[in-house]
Amino acid sequence: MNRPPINAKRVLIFVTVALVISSQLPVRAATWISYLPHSFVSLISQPAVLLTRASTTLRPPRDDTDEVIDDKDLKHKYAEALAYIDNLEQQIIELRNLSESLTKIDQLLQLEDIQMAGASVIGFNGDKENPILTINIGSDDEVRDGLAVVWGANLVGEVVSTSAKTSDVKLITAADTGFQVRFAGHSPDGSINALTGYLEVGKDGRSFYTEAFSVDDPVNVGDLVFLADDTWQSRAKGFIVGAVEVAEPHPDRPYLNKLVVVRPMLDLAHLPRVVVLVPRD
Amino acid sequence: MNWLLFAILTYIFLLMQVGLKPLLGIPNAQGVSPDFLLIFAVFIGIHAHSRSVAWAMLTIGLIANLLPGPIAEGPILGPEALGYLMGAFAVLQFRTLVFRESVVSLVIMVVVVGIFIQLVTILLYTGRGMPLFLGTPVPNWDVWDEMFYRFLMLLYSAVMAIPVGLVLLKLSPALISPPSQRG
Repeated sequence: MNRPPINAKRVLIFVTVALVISSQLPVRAATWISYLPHSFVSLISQPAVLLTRASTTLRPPRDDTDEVIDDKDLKHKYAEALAYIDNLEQQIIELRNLSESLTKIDQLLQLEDIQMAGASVIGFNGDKENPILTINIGSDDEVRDGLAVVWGANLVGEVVSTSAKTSDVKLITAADTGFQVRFAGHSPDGSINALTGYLEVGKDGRSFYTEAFSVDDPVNVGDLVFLADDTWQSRAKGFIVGAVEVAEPHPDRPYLNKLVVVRPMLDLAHLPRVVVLVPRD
Repeated sequence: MNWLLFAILTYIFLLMQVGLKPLLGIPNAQGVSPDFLLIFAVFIGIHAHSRSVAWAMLTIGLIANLLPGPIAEGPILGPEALGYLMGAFAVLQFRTLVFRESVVSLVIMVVVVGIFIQLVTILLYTGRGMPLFLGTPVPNWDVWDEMFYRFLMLLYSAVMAIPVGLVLLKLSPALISPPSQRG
């Protein structure tokens, strides 16, 4: 005898599978499935409210205030919460001071001859030798060739071409890049060093190197390296090129020179946003 | 089975479960309270025809599922409903071992079947935290806390099954059809 295609057993299996899937769905989807019309909810909730009122009348909820005050654990937690609030208030004061300082810096920057034009990175050409970022501001925003592009205190590159709405930024790690820099670090006696040098891009396309320092020059791993090149936009000078990653005797001239390798502090190819230093008219 | 009376009683037990919490909750309304829907479901499981048990308990499970659960955004359809469905299979296995017309049987079955129901429910809520599935973990969910709370609830329900069972046994002839008319 043929069994009907839909019978109670099959429906039950289908419902079971559907409920298993529903029980493991994300909250939004699962609650959407279990949505009940308001009229249906009120059908249950209104009589339930009456019953709840009657229950509450028969057994009023206890006032637990005294217990809370007497409870040692809660007292301890209360003291902890007060200390936490104090700490937060202290942090608020510090943040307020920081905000005031930043406001002053911002006011000073407004007086300077540049404006910082924020831009989103909308493309990267993926070229190791000539890496180019495309950003979403262009000549309409007064961006033009040769302007420096930074992010935070770090130098990112310079604008090499513009259209009305976009610009191309060549990263400082491009193969033909080289610039004068200043190395800043601390000597063992605590004094600050400030050596200048010329960095070239390494073969890996991700770091810079110089072989010009003598073995005695105080260049150490961790020293910050700042742009000091007059061929760049003047306002770009002082931005960070990177930090010294290697400072060791040169493999070929170990008694004469140091090999110094500098690596940018950001992954320049994957920045989501940058700032263009646009001169004010 | 008289499905109309079943629907009316389900509605009454649902109201009791929601509305009597402030009165019966230990130590307060947010504490442990009896599960009237579970008592009714187990009663149906013991007395109804085997073909009706799964559907009846699934219906009660779906209704229990729509009550506020551990997720604040709203009920997640599945855990309780499947728990009750599992309970239906459990009750069908065990009911041949007990004297159906006794309230003591109902008390014992509430605990035994309730354990199956709660374990499946806890398992499905806990499964939401597994990276294998799409669901997000239930906030502040602790399996052992849940087991402990639900076990206390089962014990309380077992106690409440005595008066509720006595009433249901009186209603049994109207609710459950005689063997010749079962369906």
